[in-house]
Amino acid sequence: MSLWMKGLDTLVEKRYRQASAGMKLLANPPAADVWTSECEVAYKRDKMRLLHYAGGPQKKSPVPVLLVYALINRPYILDLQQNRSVVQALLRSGLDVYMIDWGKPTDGDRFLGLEDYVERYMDDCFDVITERSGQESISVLGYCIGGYLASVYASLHPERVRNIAVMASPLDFGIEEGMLHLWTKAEYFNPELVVEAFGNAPSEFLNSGFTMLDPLGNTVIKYMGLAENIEDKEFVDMFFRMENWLSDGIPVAGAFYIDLIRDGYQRNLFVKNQLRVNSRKASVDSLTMPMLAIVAEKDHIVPPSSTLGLLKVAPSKDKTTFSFPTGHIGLSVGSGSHKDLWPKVAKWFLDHSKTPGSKR
Amino acid sequence: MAAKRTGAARAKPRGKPEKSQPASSPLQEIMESQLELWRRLNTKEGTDVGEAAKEIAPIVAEHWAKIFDEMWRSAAMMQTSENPVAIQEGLPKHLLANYNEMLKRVFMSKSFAARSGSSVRGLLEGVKAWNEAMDGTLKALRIPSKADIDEIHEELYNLGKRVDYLVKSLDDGDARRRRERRR
Repeated sequence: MSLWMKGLDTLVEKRYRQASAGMKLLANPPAADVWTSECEVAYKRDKMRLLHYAGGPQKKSPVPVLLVYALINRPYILDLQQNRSVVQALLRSGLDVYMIDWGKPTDGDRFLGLEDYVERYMDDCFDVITERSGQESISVLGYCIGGYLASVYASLHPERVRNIAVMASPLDFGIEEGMLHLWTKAEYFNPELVVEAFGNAPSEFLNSGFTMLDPLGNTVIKYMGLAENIEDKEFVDMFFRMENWLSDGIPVAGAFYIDLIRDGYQRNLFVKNQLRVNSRKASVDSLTMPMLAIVAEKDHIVPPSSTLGLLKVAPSKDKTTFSFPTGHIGLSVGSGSHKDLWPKVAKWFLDHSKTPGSKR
Repeated sequence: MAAKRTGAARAKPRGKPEKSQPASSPLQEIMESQLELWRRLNTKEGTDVGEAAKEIAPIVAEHWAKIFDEMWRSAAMMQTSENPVAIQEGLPKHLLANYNEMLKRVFMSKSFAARSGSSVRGLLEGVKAWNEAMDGTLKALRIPSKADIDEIHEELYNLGKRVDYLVKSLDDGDARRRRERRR
């Protein structure tokens, strides 16, 4: 009985401390600022902005790296916090970093499809970066759906892509893993209906699906974790930043949503070498440049096999895979990823940017 | 009058209720419900439910077995542990993690995908019907509807693409002329 009393004493004391810290937090929630690094807008078209980060030390490579973020949620997850920023990690290594912020689509953007994102917006960004850097080709790093966009672009314009890295990207949709791959099968789901009903695919609709991928982990268990660590300032700051990001969802342009689900998830046209963009074939046979796949072993959104599937069919002779024991978002914000993974990724880009490619 | 009442009672003997009346004994009630379930399972919907149950029931059973195992194990450990409160505190985490895994497996089942797919389809059809009704109302009131605005958006989008194409053609033409001049 005394053991119970002793344990209860400790527990009550702990809960009291946590409750006090919780009350303080409610009274003064952390600012949870995002977009950590300084940048300039190098180019703007419609709602898309090309950001250039110039704050790093002396550049060790003239070949810039373009970060292509997904069309779901905002890109500042790659620059969330000073010590957990992918942008900062690449800058510190001496790379010249650009990032695409696609902006928030409105009703008027519902007709934007894969062709517009790849052949209009991305192509413009490549024009600007190659002009500014004096390079004929640049490196590109695509995260999640951004990896799909980057790969399709690289297959259409291989001469402009020096190296390509895809991070947690759904590329081979023919796999039989992951809930999204199952739920989006043609017999269960019709993306046209979503667009007919809403115009764009609303962020609430997408988020409800993502929440169900880890139903209690994304709800009850997450908040239990906050309660347990409520006295840890760094944890709380990070938690609030993540919550800010998660609640800052954006809709996906209607036409792109149909392109992604129908031609990607349901027909797997790209890996099958049958995808056409603007009546041109996006051939995986063109992917001869060095390729890097960064996969998260515990990714419940994009199974690693989906990302690695493209490397299997691409003819490139220089293929590297970095597999890391974390989740989909942990790749970009996890402390372990920033300690062990990102220095390796930056080194890969530096090592693969030594060959001459300047047009000046 | 009393004799008449008695006669009426005899005409409807006890223990044999009419079809519309509820079964009079628990056993009959159970049999009726079993028969009703059997009838429903013979329909398309019933078959689907049966198939879903066949796929999902083992998952649920497996996880609940794990949940109960964990509870009994924790109860036994609490008797001998030096910190029984810590064990009790850790139990909900184990249970939630297990329950979470169970939900993930259920959501990953084909039956769930089919059911949720048809629910989503129903919801989207409902939203579409609502939009159409709103459009009709707005049209009747001579107010531009969402469909009208979408049409304008589409026109603008197509116009933008054509302008892009023209600019690109001009750029290509300029580049070609520059090359020819150099020659």
